[in-house]
Amino acid sequence: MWPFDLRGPDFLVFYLVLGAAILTTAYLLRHFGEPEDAPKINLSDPYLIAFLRGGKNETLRVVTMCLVDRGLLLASVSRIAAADGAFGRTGSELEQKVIKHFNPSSSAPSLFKMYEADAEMNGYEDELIRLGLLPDRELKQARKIRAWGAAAAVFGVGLAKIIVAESTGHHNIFFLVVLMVVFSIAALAISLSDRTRAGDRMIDDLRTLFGGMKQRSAAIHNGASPKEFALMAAVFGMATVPNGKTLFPKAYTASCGLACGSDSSSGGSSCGGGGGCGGCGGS
Amino acid sequence: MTDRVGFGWRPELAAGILSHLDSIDVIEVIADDYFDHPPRVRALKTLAAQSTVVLHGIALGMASTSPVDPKRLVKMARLVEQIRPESWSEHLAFVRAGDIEIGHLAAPPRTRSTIDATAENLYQARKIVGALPLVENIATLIDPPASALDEPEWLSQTLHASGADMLLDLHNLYANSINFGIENFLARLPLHRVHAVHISGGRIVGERLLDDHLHDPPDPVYDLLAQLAEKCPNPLTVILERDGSYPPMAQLLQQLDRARSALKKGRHERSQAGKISGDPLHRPESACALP
Repeated sequence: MWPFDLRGPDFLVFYLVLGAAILTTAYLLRHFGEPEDAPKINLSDPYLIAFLRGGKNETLRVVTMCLVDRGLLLASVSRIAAADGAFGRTGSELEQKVIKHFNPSSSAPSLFKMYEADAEMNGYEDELIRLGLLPDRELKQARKIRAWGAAAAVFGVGLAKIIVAESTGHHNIFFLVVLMVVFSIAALAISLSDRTRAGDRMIDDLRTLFGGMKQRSAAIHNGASPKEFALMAAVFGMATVPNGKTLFPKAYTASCGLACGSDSSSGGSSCGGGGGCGGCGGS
Repeated sequence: MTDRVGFGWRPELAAGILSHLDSIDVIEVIADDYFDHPPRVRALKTLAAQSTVVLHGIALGMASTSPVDPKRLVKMARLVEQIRPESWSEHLAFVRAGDIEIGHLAAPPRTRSTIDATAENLYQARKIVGALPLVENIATLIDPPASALDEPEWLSQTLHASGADMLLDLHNLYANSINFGIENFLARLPLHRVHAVHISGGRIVGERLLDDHLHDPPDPVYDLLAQLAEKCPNPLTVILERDGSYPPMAQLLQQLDRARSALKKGRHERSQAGKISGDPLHRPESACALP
């Protein structure tokens, strides 16, 4: 039987099965098409991990929080200012650029419009692509084709049924439209994630390895153990960092909006968690 | 000859260890924490991609007249296969009697029968896992009743009977020496069989030194490490064990540096002695090396 001739409920069942099959195929293509093995990565640079987790804005946020924790930046309710002598207390060019951005002072959200650190960010991106943790141009292209192909398939079949239904005087298409939108978004989300499978695994595995850190986190803030704290902030984001509300003004977390890191699955998202970060040893 | 130093992996120290991998040569992981836990095994594989990993078992109960549980050995074998560590190790202790778990590493009576039974258990381990474990001496607060041998003699005969090499816990050796008045403990061991070392700390409880892993290694442990490095022909892998009351990472790293210094001192003494005697350094292969 031609599926477009199916009655409404029957077609919805058919469409559910079709959508599930397309989404499963998209998932399997990604699952088996991308290697999962974790490479050796430079864990002594926490900002590299922050970039992997949340991209440029998240990295800048982690850098800023690290500098606040180490006393190189001073955070007030709405502004962040460089501390006296801060430049000489870090050898990291990225940290120096962030200090310069807040010298003498600037609003926290202005950080996300900072372009002086783009060279470092591009360096992180190149390194993560080289390690296979972020998709290269070729993989991105292949993912786009898969994503839009899957979305077009689920959307196209739904649209064809709507045309057929309208032509025969049936207008009850609400559930079908909802399914079309849900399936299309899901198809894009499955295929167009920011990281590769190995990149997702690296973040997941670091979180698993850091599972016992909560018991110790209170002992490593306020510059007590900068490298540990920076790596923890890089892996989990601000929400995990003790004294975050003290370290970071509410305005900063509230205003990051769309500029927030892209990692929403962690429960440790860097936005709105009210967290802060400890020090880092990024130099 | 390259000696190495590292940490026993503890989740509480995860960020500290991973952010200082440039100062850490090797990481020892408690294998039992990863049995039947695929996400943790996956994470452990990622850890093994970052640094040299060795596995350490705590619940096989090798030093027992009861046969070692083959199911537990299969789990160890599976983990070894997945992680491909450089070596694996287990204690010379019994941990259960019948079906009752003691929840503790207990010293068996030091007799001929426990030596033979331990050798048989280690043979089974080799058969299933693919390599013998390095076997570790344990600390005990009670001198095992019905013993016919003292600890150095029992350890030496067990190593000889099983063919296994040794993970020498220097704080356990130090604690037992103090608690039971054993003299020349280190010198009485077959030091050519030592390939790995544990160092840790403890505290005095009553009249006994308790190996609690909650304190820094005391000076005599570093002295013993230097003596071992002087006498032992093998490259040594030294692991600092800490199970709680964690100090700042910088303090733990200082303890690794002290271990390096002790090793260096011992090796220097050894090379001086070698020059005088003219004997080349003997570097036997470990029977516990994984293929």
